[in-house]
Amino acid sequence: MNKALRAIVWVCVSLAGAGALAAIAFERREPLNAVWFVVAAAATYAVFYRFYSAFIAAKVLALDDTRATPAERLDDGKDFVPTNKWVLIGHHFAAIAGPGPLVGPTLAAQFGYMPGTLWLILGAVLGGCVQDFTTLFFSMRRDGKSLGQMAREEVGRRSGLLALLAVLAIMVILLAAVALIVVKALKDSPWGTFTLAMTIPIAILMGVYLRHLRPGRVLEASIIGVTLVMFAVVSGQWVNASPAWSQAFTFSGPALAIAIIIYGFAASALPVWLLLAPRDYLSAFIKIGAILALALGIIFVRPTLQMPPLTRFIDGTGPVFAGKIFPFCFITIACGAVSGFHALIASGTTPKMIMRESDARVVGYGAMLMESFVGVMAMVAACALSPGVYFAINSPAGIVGKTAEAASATIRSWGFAVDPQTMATLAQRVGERTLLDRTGGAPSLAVGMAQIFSGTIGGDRLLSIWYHFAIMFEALFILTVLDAGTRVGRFMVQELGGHIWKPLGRRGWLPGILLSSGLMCGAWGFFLWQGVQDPLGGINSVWPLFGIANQLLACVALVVGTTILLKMRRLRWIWVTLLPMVMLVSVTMTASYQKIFDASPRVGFLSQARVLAAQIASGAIPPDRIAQTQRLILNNRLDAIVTGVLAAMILILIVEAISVWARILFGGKKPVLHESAYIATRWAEGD
Amino acid sequence: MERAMNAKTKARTNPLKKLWWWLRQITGDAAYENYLAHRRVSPQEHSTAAMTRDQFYADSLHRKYSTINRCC
Repeated sequence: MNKALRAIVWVCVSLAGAGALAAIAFERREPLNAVWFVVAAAATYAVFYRFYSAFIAAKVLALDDTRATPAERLDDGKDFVPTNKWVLIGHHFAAIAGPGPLVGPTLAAQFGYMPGTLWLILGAVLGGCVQDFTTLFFSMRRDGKSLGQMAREEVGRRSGLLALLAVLAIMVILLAAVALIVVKALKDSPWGTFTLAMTIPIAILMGVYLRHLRPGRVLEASIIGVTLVMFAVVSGQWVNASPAWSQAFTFSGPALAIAIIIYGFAASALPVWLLLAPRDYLSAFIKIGAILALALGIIFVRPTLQMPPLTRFIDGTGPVFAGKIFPFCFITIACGAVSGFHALIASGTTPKMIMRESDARVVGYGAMLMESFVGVMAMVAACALSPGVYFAINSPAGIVGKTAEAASATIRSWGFAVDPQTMATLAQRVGERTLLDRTGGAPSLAVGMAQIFSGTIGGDRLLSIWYHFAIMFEALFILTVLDAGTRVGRFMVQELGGHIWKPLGRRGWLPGILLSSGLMCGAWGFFLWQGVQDPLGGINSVWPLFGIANQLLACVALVVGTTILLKMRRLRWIWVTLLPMVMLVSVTMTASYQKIFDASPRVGFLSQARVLAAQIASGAIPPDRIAQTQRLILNNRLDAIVTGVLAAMILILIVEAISVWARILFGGKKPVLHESAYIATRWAEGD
Repeated sequence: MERAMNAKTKARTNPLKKLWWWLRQITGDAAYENYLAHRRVSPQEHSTAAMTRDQFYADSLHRKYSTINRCC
């Protein structure tokens, strides 16, 4: 293709992207079709990948393919393995894609489709992709060092410790948040609970197959596992139809929470081959399959979005979660646009497998574009629902009322049409007893996905199967995050414990394993229990905490990146990491301040505690509920402390970073860059 | 280097074979063969006998799940 033609094509792609973004950004009278979202996302990704990531690769980072990567120099056939970039992007995407980009946009849809979609697309190309790409590059230049190690070496010891603490904090809060989503999705749902319960024996069967019958034959075992899981989804309808069986699989929220805590403890303490690894294979297969199916479904069905571009809830009074559009839209979306957690993967296994430096661009920047697109699809699925139905599913009974009539009346008073009969019929069509008060985002996403899937295959007849497929898909990989996260958290606790008493640090020592697993499950179990008991649905307090912790980690990654760029004497390009960092620091600091001190009891933890205390003092709480209310007061105060600690961590990090930057810029001494020495590649060009 | 070449030649074969190769690589189904290939290319680096498929699988799980490998 000659130069002029290429230029014309890129101008057309840019115009298509800008036009579609403008269609999303401006208020419109007629509803918008999902095609606009696909075009806006795809064209923006293409333009930014082609030009912005190329600029970062060439000018900001100066990728150098004559330099041997750690995978070439340290190739050991195990950790350091030179890997084809298209295989590596798959590995990396499977590792970074979690429940966050599905749940966050679904919750943020309460503001309307516009703010969330714009942040998902623009936040990713300017922030998330840049963070992933730069962190991957910096770790690759340091033989695959972790974010914590890089923070310690390049910024300072305090930042290194902060990174470690931030990782542990985010793990605990993340696990609690995702476990709460599963509880809310499976509460009083025998079909969903049966299907998810069946994945445990199926995973164990796969584990035995992979370990003892056909070691390492992952594809064979996964095909067997996926087939059995599909059968479990279908057979759930018979469980649902049988009075005795459905009774056996019907659990309340607290009962499910206890079951999940026990499960998390067992899965993290058991040998990894038995449950964790096979479940991970199973979930990776189903995750990629469901995401591809959703993409194809959206393109095939081309649903019209029924949610308005902006709703009245941008004023902070939203029923799904409380708080104004700034900062809570950004805090809620988190992973779909910028995820600090990705920096841990980008400084973990991936940098040890990169064959040549230029591959970091497609793997780091490209995989995050895919993640952002998952977020856009979740937004489309949520906004394709009628807004009345969306709010009926996602609003806690504590806000809209306990009965179907009360909930419908409240939601109608907000201007969204819904009636008890519609909700009852919809629940029956998807094989659930009720869809009211199903907070957490998973059930409404599943209804949205089921509508898109059944529009492609099966029609209304298969709606209930598709709904339960979507619930199983979300719950399955949430449990995988729970297993893997608890296990890694256990190792972190053991490592810390080893400093106090040596035997605790030994990974194989049974009492140490039990104690550390118990501590980790106890920590996230505490927040989960608190969420289950919360009359406001739990997500209102736990998800913002998760968002703040996640964005804090992103701040760490971008501070490390900015510091390294300064040390590399790329002062004129530091805005590439500095601007997203400033944005995230202002978002997290504002959110932290409001979650602690805001006068509205639904936003501020302390004012909620004050209101509850005043209710006890005035005798408004019946005596049998006083103990429970006192626990709620304690929980709110504790949440305020946790948020305060996270905010303090950001402040310490920024103060330390600014003093390091000042020394680099004005100190006169040459800054020390802890990069591995240059060794020329032995591979010829085109290998 | 041989493995890098290998990746390139494989990518040149027909699309179905390419997809199958990619699927096996991405799922970890081919990890043991890759490990053996690595040992064949640089035998001087290894003083111990190669792991069996069974041992390799157990070892790779241990390494994979000792660090953060799944995200939110």
